[in-house]
Amino acid sequence: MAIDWALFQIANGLAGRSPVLDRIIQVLMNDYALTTAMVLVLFALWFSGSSLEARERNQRAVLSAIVALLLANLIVKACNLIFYRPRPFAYHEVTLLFYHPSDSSFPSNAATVGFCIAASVWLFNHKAGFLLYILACLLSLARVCGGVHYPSDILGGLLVGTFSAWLVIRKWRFLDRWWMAIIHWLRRWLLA
Amino acid sequence: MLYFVSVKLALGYLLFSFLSALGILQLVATRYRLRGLAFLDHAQHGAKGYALAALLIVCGALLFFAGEWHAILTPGPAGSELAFLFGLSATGALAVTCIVTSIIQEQRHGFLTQAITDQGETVTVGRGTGRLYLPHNLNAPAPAVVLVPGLNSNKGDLTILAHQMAEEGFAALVICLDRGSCSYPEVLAIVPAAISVLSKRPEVDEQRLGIVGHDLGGDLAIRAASTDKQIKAVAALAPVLVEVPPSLDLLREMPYLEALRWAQDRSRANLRAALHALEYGGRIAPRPFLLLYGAEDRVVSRAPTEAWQAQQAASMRLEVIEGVGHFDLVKHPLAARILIQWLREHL
Repeated sequence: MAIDWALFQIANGLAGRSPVLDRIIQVLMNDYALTTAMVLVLFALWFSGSSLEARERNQRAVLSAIVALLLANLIVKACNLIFYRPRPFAYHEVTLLFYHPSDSSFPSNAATVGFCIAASVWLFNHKAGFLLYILACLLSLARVCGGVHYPSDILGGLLVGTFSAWLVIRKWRFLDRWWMAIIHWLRRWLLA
Repeated sequence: MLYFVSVKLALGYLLFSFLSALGILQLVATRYRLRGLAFLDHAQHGAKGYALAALLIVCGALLFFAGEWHAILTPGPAGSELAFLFGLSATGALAVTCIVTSIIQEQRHGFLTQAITDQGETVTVGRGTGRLYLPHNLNAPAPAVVLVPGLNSNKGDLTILAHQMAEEGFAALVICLDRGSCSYPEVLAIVPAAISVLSKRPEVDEQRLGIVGHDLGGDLAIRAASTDKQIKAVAALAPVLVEVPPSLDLLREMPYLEALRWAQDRSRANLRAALHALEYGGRIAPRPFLLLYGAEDRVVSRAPTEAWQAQQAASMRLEVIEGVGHFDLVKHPLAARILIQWLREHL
């Protein structure tokens, strides 16, 4: 916990120093910018691929990411039911660049979503997955800098997101048949 | 449940995600040459598609983040609400893109067709009609070619090719196919009727008759030439032979609504199967036979066709033109040059 707090202080120490840096952190940490960018990458991925096989792989990544996201959200909700961790600003003096979220700090919802999408795509397409990992890291770092999460919340989100993606893609193999059925049905409508 | 703490913020996000999704569709359309999703013609505008994509995304982001900045830093829609809004925007962007590209391309196409000055003569071909284009300054009977369009091909494209052929000294008869005459076996009567029309014309050398078909017209040309020995040379431009199952790839060839009609049209598949051009194509030898494909063709399955071609006689020649799709092939200058040169050698 001491390391967690020390790391939080280093990151949060960046906030409040310069209005420009604060604005950049706010742009990166809000609920709309990077999360939408990540979903837009998924949207682009659906139509991408220079061959039918490459596109099919990308489309399986998108479908898997959607199911992994649902699973990750369920895990986060379950965690929140059994464990409530107050936000850093609740008991410490921090530089807060965002509103006061009232839900549990652990695990980070934003990190869970970001790393879940990144891991799901990485398992099918390393190039797009790498881009998504960068976006997820930026989002997570900005949330700590902005004062709404501890680094351990981010680590929790990373674990939950990655575990969900791994479970859906590597263990729930039966889903592959469903994905192929969905993709083949959409091909009839020229949407896949 | 959807509550939307701030309706203004939700509407702002809806517009932002709609414009961004439009931008992303332009990005992938430019990157993967998906004509059916591109607002700009990639053949003419190239990288401008990327600029348009960037413009849409940046405009959407600026409108939202500049207009709603203070609201953005306050509690807004929940994750499920954002997912719903994004889904709505993405679906809307896809629908708008498909409809707008269909309208744009129809207008672009109409403009190009109007630009052709047709100097042909209408002739009766069996129960239908055709347009005959004769070379100028004829001193002796000219070699002649029957041009058979595909079921959904643009007749204007073959008209351009016929003009070029007439300029090069060939008489060219473009058959006008209508839906009624395309059922099997009635369709088999069309080419013999056209050959009969040409062989009766004094301007035509009846010993030098060839046939050129595009798309399913190519299949019909192969089938007709396999039994009609009067035909001395056969050229099939992107004959279907083996059709690929429909997919998003069709949008590389045509706008969405047209592609959807194409994919749902069972009469094409039925006619292709009935013509059975793969089997009849083997009977054309030893007469010269040219197969011409575009490397970007997404309507036909080239791999089995090329395997089939490798087993055929040496009189069959296969040419593949890089960077050309199924429908572009007929109006591509290199395809016309190869075809005319080949006809000159063999007729």
